Amino acid sequence: MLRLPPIKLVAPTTVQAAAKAIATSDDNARLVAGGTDLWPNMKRRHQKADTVVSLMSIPDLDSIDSANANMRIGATATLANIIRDDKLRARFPAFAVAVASISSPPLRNMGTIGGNLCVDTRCTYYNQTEEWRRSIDYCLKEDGKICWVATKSPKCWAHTASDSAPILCALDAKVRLVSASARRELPLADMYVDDGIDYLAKQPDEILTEVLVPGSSDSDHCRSAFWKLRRRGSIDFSTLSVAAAVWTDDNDVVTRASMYLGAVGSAPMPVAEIDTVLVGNKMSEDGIAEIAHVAHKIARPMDNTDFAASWRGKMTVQYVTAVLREIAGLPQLRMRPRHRLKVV
Amino acid sequence: MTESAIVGQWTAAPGAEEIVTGKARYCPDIQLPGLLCGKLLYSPHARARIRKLDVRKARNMPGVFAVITHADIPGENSYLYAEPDQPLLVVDEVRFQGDAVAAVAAVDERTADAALAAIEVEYQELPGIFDPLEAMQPGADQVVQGEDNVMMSQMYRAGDVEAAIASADVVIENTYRTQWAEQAFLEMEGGVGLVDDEGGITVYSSCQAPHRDRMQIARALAMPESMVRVITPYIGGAFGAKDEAHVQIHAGLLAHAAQRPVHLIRERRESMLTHVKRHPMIIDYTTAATKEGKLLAVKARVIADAGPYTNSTHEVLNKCGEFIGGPYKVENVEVEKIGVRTNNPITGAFRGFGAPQAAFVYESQMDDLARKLGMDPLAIRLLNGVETGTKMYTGVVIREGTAMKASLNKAAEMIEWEKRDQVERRPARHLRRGFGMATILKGSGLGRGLADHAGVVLEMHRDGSVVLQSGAADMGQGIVTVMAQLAAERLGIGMSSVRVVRADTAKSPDAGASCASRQAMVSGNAVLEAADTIRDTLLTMAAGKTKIARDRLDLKAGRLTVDGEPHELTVKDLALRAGIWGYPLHAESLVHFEYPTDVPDVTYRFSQEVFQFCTQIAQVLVDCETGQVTVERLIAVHDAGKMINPGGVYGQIEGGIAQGIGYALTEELIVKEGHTQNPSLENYVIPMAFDIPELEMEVLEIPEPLGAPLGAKGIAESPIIPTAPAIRNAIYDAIDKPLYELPMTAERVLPVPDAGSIRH
Ligand SMILES: Cc1cc2nc3c(=O)[nH]c(=O)nc-3n(C[C@H](O)[C@H](O)[C@H](O)COP(=O)(O)OP(=O)(O)OC[C@H]3O[C@@H](n4cnc5c(N)ncnc54)[C@H](O)[C@@H]3O)c2cc1C
Ligand code: SF4
Repeated sequence: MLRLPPIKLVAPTTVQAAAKAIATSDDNARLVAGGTDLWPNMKRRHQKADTVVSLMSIPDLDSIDSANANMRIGATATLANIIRDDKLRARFPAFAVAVASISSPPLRNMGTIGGNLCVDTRCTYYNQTEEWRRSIDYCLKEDGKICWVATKSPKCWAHTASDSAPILCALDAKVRLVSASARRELPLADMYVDDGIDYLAKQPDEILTEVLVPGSSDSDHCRSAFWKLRRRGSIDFSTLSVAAAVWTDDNDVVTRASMYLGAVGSAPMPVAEIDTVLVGNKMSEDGIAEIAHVAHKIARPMDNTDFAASWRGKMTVQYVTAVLREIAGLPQLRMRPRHRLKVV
Repeated sequence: MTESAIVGQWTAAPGAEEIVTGKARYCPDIQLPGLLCGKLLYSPHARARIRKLDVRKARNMPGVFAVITHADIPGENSYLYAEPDQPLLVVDEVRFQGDAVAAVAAVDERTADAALAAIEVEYQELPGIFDPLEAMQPGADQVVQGEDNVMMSQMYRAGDVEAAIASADVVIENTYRTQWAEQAFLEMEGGVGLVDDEGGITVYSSCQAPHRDRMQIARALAMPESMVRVITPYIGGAFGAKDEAHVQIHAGLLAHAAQRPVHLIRERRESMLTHVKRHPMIIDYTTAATKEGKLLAVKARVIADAGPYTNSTHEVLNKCGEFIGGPYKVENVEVEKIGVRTNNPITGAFRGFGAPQAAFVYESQMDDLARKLGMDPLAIRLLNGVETGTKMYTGVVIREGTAMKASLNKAAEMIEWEKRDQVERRPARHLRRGFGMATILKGSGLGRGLADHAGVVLEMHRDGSVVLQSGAADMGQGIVTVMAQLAAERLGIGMSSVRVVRADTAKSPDAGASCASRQAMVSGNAVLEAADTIRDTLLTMAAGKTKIARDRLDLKAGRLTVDGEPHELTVKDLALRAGIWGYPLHAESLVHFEYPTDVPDVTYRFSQEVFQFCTQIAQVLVDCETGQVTVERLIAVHDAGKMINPGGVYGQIEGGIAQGIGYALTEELIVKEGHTQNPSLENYVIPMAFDIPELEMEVLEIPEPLGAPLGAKGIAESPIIPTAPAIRNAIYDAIDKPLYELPMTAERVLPVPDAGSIRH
């Protein structure tokens, strides 16, 4: 059986104590929330730690305040509880769809929103057992000197794996980060770096304590959608995801728009052009086609997850089109991804 | 006999409650005092010479009780499913990633891991042979030095194929390719070995063939078989991959070396790298027919990638060739079967045993033929289908073949085949809907000329309770339930009065392997025979006691009955009397599968003669721009002969179809230069509940006359067989594009030809 290496586990009961614990322990300390990403990674030895600081004993860090104009979600709120929240589902439907598409019910019972936003980047050459990686030799991301996806590359191309990140970025979410010495708030999109290894601008000793989604992004103010491409109707990570939000005036003229692509870069990839193309016009098939074309160029699928990279590239066009058609209220040309928003 | 009280009823497995509440003990649950943790050191390379293998450091580590290499095996260093060419522990050259070089037993897992790490192995990597077509070329580097890479090359001919092709109105020729597929059982392979009081070896084994395991363990230990005992605990699935032995032999070797109990369980990655996969095949296939659609000839060349070792390649190819013509009347058949060694994963038994690859080909070809002739897929199948009394090209005469056409007609009726063009074929701009069918046959039993027998021991105690001992392994398929039902039915007692001892070679007679959809038939008959002996004693005694004619008496619901009416005497009363008066209520039986002697000219070796027929129809939705396929409906009509446990029959059908959908659309072991890229269920993609439609199933019960208890025949393999070709034909119907390679991934479905102008 794959087992954890010996570790020291601490479970402080306040954010301050946790921040102190992570700041004062050795270099090899890590935070854990639900552990659905960290523990499997440590079992396969591609993430290592001597000390692990758990956030799960901090009371109220898991609260969800969806009735407040600006929604606030505590970092350790579980994915299951997020989709159980009626108000949240009504106000931020695409966010709920994205969260409901993550992994499987047991993992959603454990997995948290903070963990999901900080989830490690992924690659088929990296998310393997120690023996497997050793048998072909380790890669850049952990312990090695070569990238097996692009053998001449000096950089790691592991892809962003979080399904809540693209939609929360599109909805202008912010995150609050707390360390022993400072606290700051930054736009979620600024927390990501397009690098497979150093994929977060957050410092290792900073704790993400909450996610803030502005009221101006709720369903009274904008329309949003999320589509995720994968082989099965559940459990699989995204091999491509598209999240978008569009704000319109009373005449259906677009006043703002925002779109992010998941799993086709090391960070959620913004499709900034969406704003210039759509704003000032009503949504149209032509506008949608233009954005799909732009998004296809931005997406950078690599052969490091399921499906052929070239095919995932082509699918960007189809999925961007589908998401924008959903937002525009146009009939769908294709079938929806099979996962369902099911509340249990 | 009167109407069944138990046979034919939905019956929970004995032990079902233990299974769902987690009390059932599987290999990993077995706890013994002083139990050591065993581990195997596997090769990181697909092919390499071992330059140095030094285990001294590992041996000297505290907490390490045994470290063994090939040099420490007292007996034969090989597996023996068929040929002894796969070493238990490699001597000088590793030939695939699943080869093991050493085994350790240590006080705990961590120490065992440390011991593995302390073993010094120096490999010299060698260029491997990975392409079966290249491996077949004369002069190709040999996978096993001194042995031809072509491990099997057999030609079977019936009739005159060339003449038939020359005279045909239409000839269709295609090349098909199939993938490596993984059984993906829940419980990984495991064994727990221990030294018994007499110095013999007992092994708990998660397996399909306990008696064959015993032989293999004894052979490796150079012990008489009488000193080896194999017990099957609960087993969490097998699907063919536990037919050949795995780590239970090493568990026995380690226990012997350490003189302590050792448990040895594979991890998922090890499991996926080491056990046999479904053979990938390249099949060239020619069909010749008249313009009316009558089949004239089938010609096939099947090339299977065997990996480095023989395992069951001969047998799998034999079955593939036997069914290559499908359930059709065709007299001229030529099939060449070629098995090739490579440094890829080993291949062998997996539910269907060569028949799924054959069916993908012959049923795809049937639709291609129907298209070419402008015929309806249903009509062309009915026109050519076999019937009762049909003599197959193999020489076998079908004893009961009604289900071939009955299943086609029933499935067509269920989906309203005739009206399928009235269904919306283009529900959205990029979506196309299609319908496809496939109908197949698959034999049950090992085949003519092979030892196909099973024995049971049955004993009724003074209180009327019964113990049934059988060597048939139950891997979850439900043979234990079926045997208990048959015994209970025949003895007029309740299911709770029958206890089936899980297969244990010290107690139960050999029942052969649980494979080839055979146990319900062979072991089922053995149970009936043994139960009838006891029943006879009880009824004879009852006749003596009541002075009522023997032929008016029966046993039912725990009582004696007279002309069907309950009598005051219970089965328990009779059992007690028998105990007191010294009538033995103990019976043993040994049943051989009897092949008919009135067919003198069976020309196909080891042919099977009881057939599972079935038809499946798929309705799919294809996205022309993304290539994604959704199975919207799946109709399945199967013939079980007679359902002993309907729950078990439907369970087999559901499970088989789920596996079939995976085989059709998503499952593929990706192997690059002998390295398996996806040895985990994270990226070896088996379908989840979301990916399987609500199945629409119908079971026919057409009693089987040949060697089948109460008319019941095997059902385990057929459900997986037609699914892939039915989906393939439905995709063809939807987008006008025939596919010739499995799995039919989105990447392969694309590009959709002329998506804008498809005929619907
Ligand atoms: C089989 C399987 C399928 C999965 N499928 C999906 C999927 O489809 N989509 C998807 O997005 N994810 C998926 N996941 C990944 C994971 O389950 C989710 O991302 C989950 O939300 C992670 O949350 P967690 O609390 O378990 O994270 P943890 O494992 O506890 O942490 C993940 C990372 O975030 C850091 N971290 C956690 N909380 C904080 C915090 N508050 N502040 C700072 N750092 C923090 C940890 O140090 C760690 O590096 C899957 C996982 C598995 C095992
Ligand atoms: S992208 Fe390259 S460096 Fe990064 S994880 Fe994959 S193989 Fe390793």
